[in-house]
Amino acid sequence: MKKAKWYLIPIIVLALFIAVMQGLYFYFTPQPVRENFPRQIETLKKDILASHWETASGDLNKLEQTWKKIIPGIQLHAEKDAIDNIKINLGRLNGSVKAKDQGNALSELGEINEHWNNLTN
Amino acid sequence: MNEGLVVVVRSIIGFFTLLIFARVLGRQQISQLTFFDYVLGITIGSIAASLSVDLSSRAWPHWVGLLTWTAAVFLLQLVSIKWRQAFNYLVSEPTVVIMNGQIMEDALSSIRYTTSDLLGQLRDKGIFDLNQIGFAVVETNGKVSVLLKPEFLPVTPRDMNIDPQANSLSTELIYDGVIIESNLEKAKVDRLWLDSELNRLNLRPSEVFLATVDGDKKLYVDSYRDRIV
Repeated sequence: MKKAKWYLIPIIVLALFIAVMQGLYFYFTPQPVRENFPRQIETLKKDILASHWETASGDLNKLEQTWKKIIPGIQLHAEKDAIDNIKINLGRLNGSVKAKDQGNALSELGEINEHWNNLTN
Repeated sequence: MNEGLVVVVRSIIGFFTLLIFARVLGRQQISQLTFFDYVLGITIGSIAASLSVDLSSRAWPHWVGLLTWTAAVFLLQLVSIKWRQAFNYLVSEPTVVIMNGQIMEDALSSIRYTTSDLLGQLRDKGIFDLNQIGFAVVETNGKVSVLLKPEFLPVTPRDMNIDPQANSLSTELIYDGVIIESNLEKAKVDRLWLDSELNRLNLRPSEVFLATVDGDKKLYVDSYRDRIV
C-alpha cells in the first residue's frame, strides 16, 4: 500500500498538470460567462448588420466585460499572443463601431470569432 | 492577462515535471556518452525554460517535448539493460588501449583518442610511469580505467596475512538536534544507551548536529559547538 502511494502521488501530480495545460482552469469560469462570449459576438454582428450603432456600442461594452471575466480562466493554457489578439481586435472594433464603419466592424468581429475558436479548441 | 502569475504556474509545472522525470530516470548515467549527456542536459533545460517563460506559445507542446525526450532516454536505458548488442551499436563499447604495458595504437586511433588525452587521464589518476600499467581501458564516457601490474598495486591486509575487522555502515541517530527514532531500532540501540553516551560527552540531543553509530556501537558525535584547535 505504501509503495502504491509513492507511485500514485507523481501520477496524480502529472495528471493535474496535464489538466491545467489542457484548460482545466477554464472550466472554473462559470458556464454562463463561457457561453456568453460567442453569443454576444452573434448579437453584436446582428446589430452591426442592421446598423443599430447605439445598441451595438452597448453590446460591445458587454462583450468587453465578458472577455475580462474570461481571461483569468484562459490565461494558464492559452498563448499570450492569442489573448492579446482578441484585446487588439476589441480595440479596433470599438473604433469601427464609433465610426459606424460596417465593413471593418464585421471584419474585426469575424477575426475575434476565429481567435475564440482557436482558444477553445 | 496576469503574466507574472502565469509564469509562476508554468514554472511550478516545469520544475515538478523535471523532478518527477529525473526520479523516473534514476541514477544511471544516461548513456555513458559525455558529450551526448551534455547536449541532452542543454536540450531538456532549454525546453523546460521555454515551458516556464515563453508565453508566446502554449505550455502543452513544451511539456510534450520534455516527456518525449525523457521517454527516449528511458527507452535507451531499457535497451542497455535488455539488449546488450543494440546498446553497443548505439553507444559503442569500452576499448582496451594498453595491454600488458603496450599501447594499442590502432585501438587509440579507432576511437579517435590521442596519446596526450590518454597520458593526461593517467596523470590525473596519479600514474606518471607507463611501466606500471598492466591494462588501460577507455570507457564509453571517455574516462580511462587502469589496472596496474601486480607489483605496483597497493598492499592490502590480505597480502600481510592480517585479518581485519569487518566494517559496517553507519546509521544516523541524530540530525540537526532531532533524534531519529526509527534508526535507533535499526542500529539495535535504545534511547537509554544514547542518552548515557551523550551524558559522557556532556551533551544534550538538541546540542548535537550529527550523531552516527556503526556496527560496533561506536558513536560519532558532531555538536554545534565546534572547537578548532
